[in-house]
Amino acid sequence: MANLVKVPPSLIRLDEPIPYSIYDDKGTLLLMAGFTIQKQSHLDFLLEKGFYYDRRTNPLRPKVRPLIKLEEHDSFDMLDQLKLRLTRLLHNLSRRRGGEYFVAQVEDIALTLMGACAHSNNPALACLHLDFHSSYGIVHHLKTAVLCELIGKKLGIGDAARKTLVQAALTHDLGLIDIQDILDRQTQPMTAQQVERIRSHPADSCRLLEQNGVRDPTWLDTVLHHHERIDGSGYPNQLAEDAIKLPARVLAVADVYSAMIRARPHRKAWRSQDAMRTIMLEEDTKIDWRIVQAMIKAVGMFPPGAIVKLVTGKIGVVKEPTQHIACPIVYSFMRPDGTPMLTPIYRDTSDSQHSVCDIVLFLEYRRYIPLIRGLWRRAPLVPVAVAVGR
Amino acid sequence: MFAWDDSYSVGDTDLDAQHLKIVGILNELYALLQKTTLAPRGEPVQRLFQNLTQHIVSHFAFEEEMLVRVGYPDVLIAQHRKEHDSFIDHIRRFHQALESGDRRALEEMLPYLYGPWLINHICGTDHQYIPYLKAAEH
Repeated sequence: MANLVKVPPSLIRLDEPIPYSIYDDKGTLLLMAGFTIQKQSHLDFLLEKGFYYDRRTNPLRPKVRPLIKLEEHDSFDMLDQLKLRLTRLLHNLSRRRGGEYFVAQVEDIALTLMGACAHSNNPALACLHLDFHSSYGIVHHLKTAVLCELIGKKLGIGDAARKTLVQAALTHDLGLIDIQDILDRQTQPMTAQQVERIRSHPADSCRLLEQNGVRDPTWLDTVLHHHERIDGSGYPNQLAEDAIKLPARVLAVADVYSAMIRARPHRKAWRSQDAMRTIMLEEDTKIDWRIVQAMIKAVGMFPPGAIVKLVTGKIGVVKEPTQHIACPIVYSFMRPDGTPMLTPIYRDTSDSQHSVCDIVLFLEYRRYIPLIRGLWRRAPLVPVAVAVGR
Repeated sequence: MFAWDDSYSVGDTDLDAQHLKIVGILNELYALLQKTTLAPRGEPVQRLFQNLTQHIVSHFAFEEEMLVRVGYPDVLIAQHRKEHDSFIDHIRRFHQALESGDRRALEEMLPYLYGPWLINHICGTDHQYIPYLKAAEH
């Protein structure tokens, strides 16, 4: 205690590691040597309170290990950034600004998205699945685009053709973008005018794309025909069978699935299991089976980010699919009594003791998101000073 | 011990109450760890840790939703989320230290919680969103 002396102002500088550990008047360690103070107000606070350091200790001179090392970008973060980029792009479009860069920017987003999927597609899907606050238009376009990329790869579509498909997916509902958030929150049935807007949105989207410099016929065709159905019941042209080209069919499946698994005020999200079943059974005359099978192979019955209940009563989140579509890798994060687990635990659901018994509604568990989203982020490389000292 | 000061308030009753609660648990944890006879694996410490996890996770989710609601810029929300994630990650490490009975790691944990967490986050980063909270009130 006797060796504790007051910290003189000259000792601590902003944005530089502090040379001594700092104590309060009772000798309680407050800040370890090496901690960096980044704000003038914090520095003022420390000096004003008159804290102490132990003058017997040697000041810390050499280079100090950073307390927190920033992670490298991974697919999860890349998708978070794409949400921002797509938001900005659509915002500019609605203000009729920056049209001359539109095509280049969509291409850029498509390439980044394909890169993220190539790096690791599960974090990309999880990032979109666990998002509950971005606007519907943004998440829906990105989710559809990721699904198109994954289905396209499974079907063996080449890189260049897939890029066009992804670009079409990123822009397929442009004609609805101004009312999409209203529709998303609306609890009443749609007005006649809104129904008309829905009917005309493939053509509206196409027109907007052309106005902003899109000349690629495949891109435009895919957007125009993403609501056609193979039994001829779709719109706008009631095309049937082979008259609908492959990219438009892929986009149709991805679009239906993405829309179904999102919660809306007037209806809860379909559980993805049910969504998949609906696509497979009820719509089997309307959409292409081969494509649905490719999608199941790519994302499994339980897509990454889906919240599931295990037979033990624990609640877990799907991290990634495995070879067995019904047995994904799950991390449990909540005990049956409702208490959260600080460290989610790996569960092999092919083991009958831990098998998945149900998909539960994501919105009810959204307060656990800060706990589980780290599962898809790369672990920080350098541990805190504390953990190194053992 | 970290004493709460009214100047740390972010001006929202719910958020302040949650911050205060977390500070309270940290102080309690600190007091417990001061008792030299206490085994780190002991029941009271475990219970407090569970308590801390529950409050912190719910608080982060609550705060992030609030920020979206008041129109806090997306870029800043993303940064804010990162700080939350990094903090949970650290708590996790400390929990592992606790599980393995590493007393020293535990004793060094509080300066971290009090330092980067309380000083930089609650009293710093969290204060950046006050104008947005205020604007949303009107």
